[in-house]
Amino acid sequence: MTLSKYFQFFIRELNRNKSIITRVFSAIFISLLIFSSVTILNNSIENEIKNNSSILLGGDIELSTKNKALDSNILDELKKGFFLTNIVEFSTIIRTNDKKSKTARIKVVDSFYPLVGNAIIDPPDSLKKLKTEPNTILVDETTQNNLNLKLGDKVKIQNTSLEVIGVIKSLPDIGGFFLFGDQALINKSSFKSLRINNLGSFFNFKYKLIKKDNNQDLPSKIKTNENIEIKYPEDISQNLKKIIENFIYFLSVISASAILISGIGLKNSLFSFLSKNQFKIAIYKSLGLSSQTIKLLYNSQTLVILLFCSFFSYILSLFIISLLDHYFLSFLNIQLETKFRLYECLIVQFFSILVFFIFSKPVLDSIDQIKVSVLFRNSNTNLNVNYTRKSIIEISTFLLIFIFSFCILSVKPQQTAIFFFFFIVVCLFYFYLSKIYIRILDKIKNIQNLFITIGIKNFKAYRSLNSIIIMTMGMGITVLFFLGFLSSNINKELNTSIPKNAPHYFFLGIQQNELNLFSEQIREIDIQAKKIIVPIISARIEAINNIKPKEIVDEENKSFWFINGERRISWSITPPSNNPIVEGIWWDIDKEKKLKISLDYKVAEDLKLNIGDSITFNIYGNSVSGIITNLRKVNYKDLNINFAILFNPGYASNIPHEFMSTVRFKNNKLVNLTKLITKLPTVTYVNVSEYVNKTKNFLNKLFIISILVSCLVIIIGLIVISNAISVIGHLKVYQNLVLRILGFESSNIFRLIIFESLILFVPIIISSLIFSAIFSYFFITNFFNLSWYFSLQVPLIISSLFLIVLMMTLLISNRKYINFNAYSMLRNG
Amino acid sequence: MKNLYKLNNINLNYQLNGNDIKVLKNINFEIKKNERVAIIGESGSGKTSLLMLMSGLEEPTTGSILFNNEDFSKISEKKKTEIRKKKIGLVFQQFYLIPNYTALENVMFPMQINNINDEKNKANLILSDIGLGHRKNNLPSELSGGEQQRVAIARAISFNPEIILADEPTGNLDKKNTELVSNLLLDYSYKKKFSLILVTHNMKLTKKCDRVIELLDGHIKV
Repeated sequence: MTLSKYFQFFIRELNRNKSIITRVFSAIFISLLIFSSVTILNNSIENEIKNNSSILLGGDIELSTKNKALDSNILDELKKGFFLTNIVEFSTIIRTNDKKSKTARIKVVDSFYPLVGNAIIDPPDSLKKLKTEPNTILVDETTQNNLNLKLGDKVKIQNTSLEVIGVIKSLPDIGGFFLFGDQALINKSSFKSLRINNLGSFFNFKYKLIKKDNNQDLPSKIKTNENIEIKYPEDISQNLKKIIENFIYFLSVISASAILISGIGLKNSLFSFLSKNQFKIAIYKSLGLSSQTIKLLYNSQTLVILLFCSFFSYILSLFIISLLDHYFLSFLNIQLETKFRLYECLIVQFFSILVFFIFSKPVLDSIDQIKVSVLFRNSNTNLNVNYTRKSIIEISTFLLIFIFSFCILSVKPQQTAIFFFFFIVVCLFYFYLSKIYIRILDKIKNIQNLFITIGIKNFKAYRSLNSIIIMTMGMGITVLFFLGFLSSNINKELNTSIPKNAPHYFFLGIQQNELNLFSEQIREIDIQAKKIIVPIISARIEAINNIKPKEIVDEENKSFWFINGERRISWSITPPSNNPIVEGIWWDIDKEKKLKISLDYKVAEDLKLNIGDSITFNIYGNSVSGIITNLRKVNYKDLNINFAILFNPGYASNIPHEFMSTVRFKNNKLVNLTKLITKLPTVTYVNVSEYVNKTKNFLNKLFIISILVSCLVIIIGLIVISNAISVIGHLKVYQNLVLRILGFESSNIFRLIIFESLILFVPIIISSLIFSAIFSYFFITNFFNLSWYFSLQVPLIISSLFLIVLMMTLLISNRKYINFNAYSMLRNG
Repeated sequence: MKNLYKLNNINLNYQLNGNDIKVLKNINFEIKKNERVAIIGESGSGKTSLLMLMSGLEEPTTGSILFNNEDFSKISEKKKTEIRKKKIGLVFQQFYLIPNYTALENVMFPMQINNINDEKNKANLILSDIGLGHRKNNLPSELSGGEQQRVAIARAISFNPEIILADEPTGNLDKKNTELVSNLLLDYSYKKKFSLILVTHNMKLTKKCDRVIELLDGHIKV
């Protein structure tokens, strides 16, 4: 056959099989669409962060000195090699004249801000104006809306009045992600009139530097100064990546599931196609087309369609991501640049080629089994996908390449490998389940019931197809249950209301001499208010058992936060009522004068710390070591005062400190804090419900995207399962027609269908439930750090949904012999 | 006349539940070029098995089949496929047209895979010749049984094979169509000078052939 004739044949076959192709490849198309979208999303975010990391940091280097400005000599030395801008950040309350107030993060900027990138402010010249005019402020859009501010309005920070001269649309240096970020800009002269010197303000001096010369390095005394934290653009990109890593990981795992499930579906559909087209293939063979040519035809068709699907899905994904960017991803504070990237397109194509070699080629190889003799004998062959040693090696190799490539491209290679391990284990389980079935059914003999006899015979006759169906259904329902459990758990977490006894407000930055005034003010607002006041200091962990903490704790550790940056620490005479001691003993206030430490047991577990280990702190420049005396179970979710570290008061009460307080009012709605913050201008408060709602809002947006993707995978699962079920239905049309001719009623055939479905359905549902419960538990506890719960609703809803799909599919695929029309069935052609 | 086929001591056995089933026993005969031979016999006598052996689709247990002096047992599967493609036309009782191809496309198909040029015109001519020019754009499901079998014959002769192996081609047809189809096959075998092996139960048809081979329980009845 010449190439042009072959091409004609190829095109004609494609054209004639349009409807079958659409059905067979719809699931794989959706899964490639998800995979493309996740790939584009991941790469776009990574590129955005990587390309803009200097802008996100605000320079080539950032020096942070917490609450102490850099020495002027050091600054002078830095100015020789760097352009420099000095920023001071702190949290405070912004008040309006009509007694509205709001917590905001204030950025004090100098005339050089921003060194890199653009600040978009409305009106555009207002940043320039801010730098020169005293007592002016720029607020962000949220603050403007919440406080109902207009340009020219006056607001107050502490007792200083500031004029709103502009609204911040976006700032370039958002390296820390202002998730809860209501922010404002003021200038240095406005800042000088404020009294910001307490811990509750989370005070921070930052110096953003740009090298005058590319080879310029920081002076060694800065590098070795332990009180200066140095950040480079790559640190920012790492931090940002970490924030969205779980989200991207979840999506990529979902896309891998989608590809694998639809791959199994593709295998199933191709097998069904071959079974139904046995005579056609035999005719081709009888006319002189070799098995090789026919395989080449179907292999090249499948490959071309897969490549087309992957290309089209990639293009469609670009469009979807740009839409998502506008409607969903704005909350990540990232403007993604979605554009055609050849390597991304090639990655998607590469995976579609792997899908071909893993799922499609082995099935198409069964074309060899179709003999021309079926035309002489006029009888179908029960095709089986026979795995030879060669085909098993081929499939395993391509599967390994698939897993390896996916892991390498994943944001979390190890966890992705674990996921694939689970996936393969489940696959194997369902594969062997079908084998066990056959063995059990083989042993069942002497059955009197005709339906059971026919059912068992059918199951054994289509054993190869049944094992694919069991695998497809098993994997599909396991993923459906898994997604259901995941959704219900996350949803439950998001809908969990604020704990009953949680305080309404946190007050920070209360000085020793303000304690009485603070208590008086609270009583004035509500005499029945419940308040807890505790001392607070700030310290940095210098060493654990005399070793620098970053040498023994890596960034992947769940409690890395504990050793990273400053820790707020308190002390207590008695053990906190909400933090039960799980190990060790509480201290004796009279005897213990040396530093003793009470630690969160979860932190101790993650960092492998035990009673008797030592931790060295840097407290206001002094190194102090203490011994861990007891471990407490700290439940941060109760939103009360919870410290990971408590000191013994015998030692700590001598350290200079300030106080923080939680207050629960009898009726929160009637509370007005105006007088309190007027009298105590340095005190900052956090409204707990506002904070929780903002967190929920952020998580909700992530969750909506995850659910949307999960829903798509559920649809794929249902398409694949539905196709799998209809395969046997189609194959049994002839058999059922004969049964009808012999006098079987429609109801009898229904009973037969129900019996055959039940022997497949029941064990699959049970094992899927067990697997999905285990996997969702693993995911929820390890990746989402939430407590897992079993929702009975999930299996009930999904099983019912699946049953509806099952029944609909059976009705549709069996309609031919339920609506008895022998003539059209008997006619050849 | 030259021999097209030579079958020497053909035996065909199947294994069924550990038992040897002897389907064909010691078969010897020759088919000459442009000869028309009818093979008759009761159901299960081995007629179809013999046809499968002659088309190279199955291997005899012992013995040799020579086609144009080439021993089927000594040539590759690829070569056998090539012979079937270029030299052997098959006609089945159940017609077996490609269901999603029109009558014209069905007839064109063997010419396309044999790289015969002008296949469309040639297929049109054949279809007109057999009286189905007006049905050329119909799918097999839109044709009657007789029409389907005529298209199948047109397809089998389209690439000018050296022999047509027909397995009960009139078995599914009524009297009128049986006449039509059998005449078509025989007329074409004279016209196009190909050999014809006809497996049939129709005694009237056997009389129109040059020779009759009768199989009885796997043997050739002498």
